[in-house]
Amino acid sequence: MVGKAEPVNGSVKSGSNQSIPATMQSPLKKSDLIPNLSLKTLKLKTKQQELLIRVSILCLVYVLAFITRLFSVLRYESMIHEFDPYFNYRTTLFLTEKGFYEFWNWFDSESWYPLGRIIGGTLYPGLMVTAAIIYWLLRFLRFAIHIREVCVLTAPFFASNTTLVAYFFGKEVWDSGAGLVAAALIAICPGYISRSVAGSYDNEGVAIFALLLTFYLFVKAVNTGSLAWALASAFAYFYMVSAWGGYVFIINLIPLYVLVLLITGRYSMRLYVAYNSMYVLGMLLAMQIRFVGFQHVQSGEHMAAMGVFFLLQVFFFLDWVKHLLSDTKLFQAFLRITVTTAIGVGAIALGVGMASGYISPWTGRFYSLLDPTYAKDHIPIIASVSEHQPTAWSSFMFDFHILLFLFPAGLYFCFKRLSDATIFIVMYGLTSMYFAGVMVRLILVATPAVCLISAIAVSATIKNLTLVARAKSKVTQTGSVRGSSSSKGSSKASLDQSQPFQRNGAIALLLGAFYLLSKYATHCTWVTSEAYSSPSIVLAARGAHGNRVIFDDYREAYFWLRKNTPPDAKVMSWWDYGYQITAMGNRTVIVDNNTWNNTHIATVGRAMSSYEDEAYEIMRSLDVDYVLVVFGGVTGYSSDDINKFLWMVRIGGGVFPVIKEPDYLVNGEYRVDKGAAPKMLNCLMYKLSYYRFGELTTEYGKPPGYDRARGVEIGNKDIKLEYLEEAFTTSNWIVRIYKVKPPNNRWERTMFHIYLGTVLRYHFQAMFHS
Amino acid sequence: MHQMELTEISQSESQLVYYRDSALILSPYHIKKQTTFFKTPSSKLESFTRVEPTNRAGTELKYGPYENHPPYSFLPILLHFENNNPFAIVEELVREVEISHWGNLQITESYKLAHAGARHKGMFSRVEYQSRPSISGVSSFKNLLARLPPRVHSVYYRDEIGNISSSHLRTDPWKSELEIEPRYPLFGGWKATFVIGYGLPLEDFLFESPDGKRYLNFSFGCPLVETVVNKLTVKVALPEGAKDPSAVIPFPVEQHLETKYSYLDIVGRTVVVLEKNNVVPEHNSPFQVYYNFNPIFMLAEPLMLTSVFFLLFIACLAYLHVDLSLRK
Repeated sequence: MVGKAEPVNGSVKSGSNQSIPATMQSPLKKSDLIPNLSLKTLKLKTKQQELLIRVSILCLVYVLAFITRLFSVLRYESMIHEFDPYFNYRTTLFLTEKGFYEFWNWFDSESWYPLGRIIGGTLYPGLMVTAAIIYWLLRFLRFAIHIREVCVLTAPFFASNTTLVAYFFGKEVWDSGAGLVAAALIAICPGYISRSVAGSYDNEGVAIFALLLTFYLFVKAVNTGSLAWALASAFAYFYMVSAWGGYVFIINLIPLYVLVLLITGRYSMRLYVAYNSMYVLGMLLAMQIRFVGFQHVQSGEHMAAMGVFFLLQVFFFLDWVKHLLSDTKLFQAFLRITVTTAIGVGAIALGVGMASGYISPWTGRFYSLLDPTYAKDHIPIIASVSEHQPTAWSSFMFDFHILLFLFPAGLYFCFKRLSDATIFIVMYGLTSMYFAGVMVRLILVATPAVCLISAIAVSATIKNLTLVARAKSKVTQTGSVRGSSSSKGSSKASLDQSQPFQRNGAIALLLGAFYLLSKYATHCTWVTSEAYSSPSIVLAARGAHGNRVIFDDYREAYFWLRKNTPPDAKVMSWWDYGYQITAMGNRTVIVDNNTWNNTHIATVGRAMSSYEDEAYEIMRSLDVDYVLVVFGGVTGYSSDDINKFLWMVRIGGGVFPVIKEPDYLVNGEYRVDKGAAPKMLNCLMYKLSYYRFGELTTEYGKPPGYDRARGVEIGNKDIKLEYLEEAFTTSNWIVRIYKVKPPNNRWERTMFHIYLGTVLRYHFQAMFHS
Repeated sequence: MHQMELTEISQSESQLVYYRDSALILSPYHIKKQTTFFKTPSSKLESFTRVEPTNRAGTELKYGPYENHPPYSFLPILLHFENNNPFAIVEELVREVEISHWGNLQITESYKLAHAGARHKGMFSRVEYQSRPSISGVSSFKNLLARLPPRVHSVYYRDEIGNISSSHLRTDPWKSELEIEPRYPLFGGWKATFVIGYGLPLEDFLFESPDGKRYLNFSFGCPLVETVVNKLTVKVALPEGAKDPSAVIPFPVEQHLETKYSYLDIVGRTVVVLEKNNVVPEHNSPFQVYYNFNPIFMLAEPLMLTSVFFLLFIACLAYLHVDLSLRK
């Protein structure tokens, strides 16, 4: 084999030798005219080839990152997914229709009735402004597209851009090979795809791009010490702040990194320039976002950055004094005094700030990051969201696949070649991995780091392996020439002996690496297509004959609300559906996914878990016209309101102690069948979900009223509604809407009571007179 | 002539209507002998005016024979019967026809549909609607039929919040039938809006007249079968560069011109807008829009695109070959 391979190599070489003069001929002819240029082009030949390959790989990765996110568009349609994206879509629509100032001053009376919400001041506008700018640009270029298409494709577009940033970041940290691998890995990594498929129009879509860009530019600034890069990173940070609340991660990670560099003695002027300019300008810019404002200098989450900023000044000052003072003893004394004063002043400032309330303490969300059990005990509303749960081991495997094994390997390579940049990427990787373990949704933040570090592992390994695999032929060629002359002959011979084994091993390992990487690619595509491309508004299932059945009940209900209820109708539902009702149903909601007012949500939770007459009082006080519940008993759709009900009870009970969780449980068990708790069987949520469900046969061979989502026959089949009436139920019963009756009956009853009272009074008067 | 008996009915009730007419035809001539038959949709006839001789047999009501009536005589009658036919009316319909000389005619029709029958009262019970379809919700309707021209392609059916998956298209070489279901069954007073769009081959509808003008020949009315349109707007977007548009319609309509910007338009397309109120299926007759068009305008957009890409590559080349640094 080897013997054969060499002539083949030789023939290839001769072929290439022939081809090189062939290509050389044309420049040679020109070289008579411009001799310098031809030489230059000749020299650049291999470099240009490399550039060409690199650029075309990047282009392919760019396109790949875009098209792999289009599964949902092909399988369903170009639509907005899930819950939060509907709010973003609605605000973007408002922005493009009414303009920026209207948007900035928007008071939304359609949500959080009767409180309303100041939209302009309580959102991160980056995503909407980005989409609107893309939309206006395309309109200007006469592409007559709908804003929805822009919104649907924003996330894939930014994912494509992220691959470019990943390439440059990888190039900055390691080399361009690692950059290419990083771009390819991040393009299809499920951890990132989960939040950036077409239609998933959420802040994270652009924020990951901004996050990585900020980090890249900052590392570049630290590496070069250039003011321009530092300022660029400040602007990237500004974009990040405008797009996502996750910017807090940046403003804590970068100071931590600076601190680590200081401790490890890697302080340099480059670092000083980069951090100071980035922090000061970034802070000033971030304060322009209304939702952040003075929080950036006042809240506890941002204090680390400010502390490190002052520390850096002290450090620089000391450095300067040390430079001036020649006497070391004097400097030691000075150092002691300065450090104690600095620490003292800092501690006093912090203490006074905290005590006077000028510096706000950490928020619940921040606490729940540092202490995973915090939310469970104190803030049920955070704990109730599935994406805030601690991450299971399997979802790491699902989202990272082989990167999970490559990550430690990459860390090893980084530690082997420590530099400012690799320290940064290591810190980014480790901290974000911790956060990914605390909350499922933060896997997203860890993904770029994991991809970059794994890319370093892949690139370094493959590079070493190919060097070994290639070395053989060179060694034998050079060895035969040098063998007799050089003194290293003996060592060469020993190398030669181990070569065949080494080379074959390297080739085997290379094949193994390619096998793993191709497995990764298939896994990613499979995950994207199966798990992350469902819009969750439209549900699809397989029918009995293998055909696809579509449950479009959500839109059916929302569209019914939109067209057949009064325009000022108020709809009460659990907060999950708030954004969708306002965006698709165009009706006012009591609570929505913003969850800014816990009491208001608890009131709704209380109404849902009370008896009908008590609930009616609450609904009257909130002016509710319609109540919307989601029910999966007919279709077997498990994420319905009955399964979420315990959270309503918990959140309601957190504010109103009248509601007690044990009332709804039997021996700590949650059930809806005959053995369920009496309060459970008669609360509003149960009644609304199962109203007249007892008459329906859902499955062949099962009694009527068989709940397919929970697999039991319901316990209360004879449900009568007194204060509400069924207004609409979708074709598969997934959404049920009830109308709250006007208080006529009650008026009559009170009249009756008054009448009775008068009669009795007359009666008594008659008794006394007689 | 139809009139609702009750303005509101509940889900289980059926819809009763009054019908007023004359048992004799309005005629300027002397009538020697006339017999009038009325056919009701079902045998449920609540009451009817008796003008002897009057006979009723099943769904048929026979008035007459009447003999020797003078001109312009009138015999008022009032029928009161069950009518559960879909009272679908289109409150507003905008049909947009966009002509592309590259071979396609793109039609977009946006409907505002309403059930104009007796208003729905009280609750809507899905379990009754599903389990007793013969009694419950008889006055409602859930699907409509649209007759589209043959050789129709890329049909879509959607509304403001996305695609509506319940529709069927049947095509054969002579006609296309699109059966659409709104998202929910429509009861009296309920409304729905939706958009139907489709493409058609240009050669079936665009012709050249002997004087060198082009003309579009297209049907005016609403493609939905047996529906009345309160307000119909037909917009014909001519290709960019078309001049002197004129419309020929067999009945009076309101006309004006608009400008529309579509993909890569610079000067905008001329849109001929035709408006007519109260359109019935009898208005489904062809109309023509004549205009002058120079085929060179077809090349404007491809040339624009190629030149943009050409300039882009030139810019790239220039950037790679020009040294922009200040220091040497």
